[in-house]
Amino acid sequence: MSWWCAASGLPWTWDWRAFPGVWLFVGANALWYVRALRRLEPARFAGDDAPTTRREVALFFAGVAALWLAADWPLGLLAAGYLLSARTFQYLLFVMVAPPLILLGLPRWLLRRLIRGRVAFRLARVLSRPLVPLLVYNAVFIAVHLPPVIAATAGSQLASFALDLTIILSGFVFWWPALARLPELAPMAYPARIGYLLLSVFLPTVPASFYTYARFPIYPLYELAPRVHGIGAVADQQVAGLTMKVLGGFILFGTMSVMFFRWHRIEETAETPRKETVA
Amino acid sequence: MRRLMGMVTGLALACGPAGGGDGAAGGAADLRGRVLAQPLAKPEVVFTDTEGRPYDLRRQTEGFLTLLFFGYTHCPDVCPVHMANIAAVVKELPPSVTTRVKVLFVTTDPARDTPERLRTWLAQFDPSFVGLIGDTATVNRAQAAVQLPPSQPGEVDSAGNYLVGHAAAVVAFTPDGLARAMYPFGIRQADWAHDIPKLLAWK
Repeated sequence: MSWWCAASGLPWTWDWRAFPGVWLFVGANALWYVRALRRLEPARFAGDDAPTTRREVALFFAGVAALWLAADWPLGLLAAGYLLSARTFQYLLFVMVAPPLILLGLPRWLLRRLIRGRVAFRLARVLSRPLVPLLVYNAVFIAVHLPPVIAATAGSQLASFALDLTIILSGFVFWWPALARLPELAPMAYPARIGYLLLSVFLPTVPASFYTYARFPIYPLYELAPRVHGIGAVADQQVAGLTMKVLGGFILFGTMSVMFFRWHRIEETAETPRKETVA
Repeated sequence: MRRLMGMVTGLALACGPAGGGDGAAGGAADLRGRVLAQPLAKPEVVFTDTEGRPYDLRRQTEGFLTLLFFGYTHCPDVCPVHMANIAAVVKELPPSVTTRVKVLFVTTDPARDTPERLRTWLAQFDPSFVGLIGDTATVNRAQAAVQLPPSQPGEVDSAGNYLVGHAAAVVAFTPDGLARAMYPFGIRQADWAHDIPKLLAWK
């Protein structure tokens, strides 16, 4: 039995396979959250802290569900050794879906507890500014899409796990300044956050364009993998390119739109008393 | 399964006359396939095509770049990948090149590969691919002629399925009728796109 999804070279079948490592990983996250809420939630709240809401719980578990969906059979296995399009979809779940949901699902009091140590607070503050997260996110993005990296990690469960974990962590680093949950970390204003997300739209265009327009498959792993329902390697690569561009862009532009309207609402609220005073 | 194929191919290539791969003697210096130090003659065999007609290998491929592969349609990995990759490249190359290429797939599993099944299976890659059937002796003779080991059916499982161990290399015959290079599993589309025009121009 395998504990984490890795390329095996075996023909693809829809027979269910167990990956206990994935369950352990996902279960540990869920368990940590439940225990934190039960044991650590204070009786009284100060400042803008508030009791955990159902919405936060739902968002957290939606994020964990996204991790589970991405890492477990069938998507995890398809991504590990059969289809680049599956890998791209998995990447988006790991980076663009699960981390923001989980971050939004963490109540402020819990976030504050997590960064109450001096080092943790400093790190959280550094990551609230755009430069380091952009560098980390883009460096990981480039590294995990390099053909030698994919080839070197594909067959090993441990290496695949390490790669997946790196991708997930890069997602948290990326979304931390964009979601800006804690005001004491001096987060960016909405226009800067929109600009930050906009900057992140462009890099994925490079591999997405290669995927979409390359004449031949880029990754030997997916070119020489046993076929899944006869899907050709080039067609799979084109779907991967479109997925990265369209779905990734949709998530980022969608978030930017939400931020824009929030910013607009804040501006409007600030303007209203002034107008009333003038009138 | 792939390991078995790799071992069979490796064995075949190791036992065969595969050379260092410079190919300079033939005139095409930088093939990405494994160039044969001593070219091999095209086997003198007659198969049956999927329409039930006799197919004289030498006569009907004369003057063409011929890519010959021995495999079977129930193959879970190597055969469909080879066929898909060759088909993808054939679609990309200009017609002036591809009209001079013939891809032949000889079944090593005649018990299950009926003409209809073979035709349908090949058509999903490229309808121009030629499916060929022969009795075991003929197929083994053809394989031996290009220094490939005979195929070997594996054990039948409870559902009646079985694998067939076979060489995983595609044999490339240049238009002069001689096998100049072998393409083991692992060869990529970009390699085919690089080599096919060179094999056609081989003098």
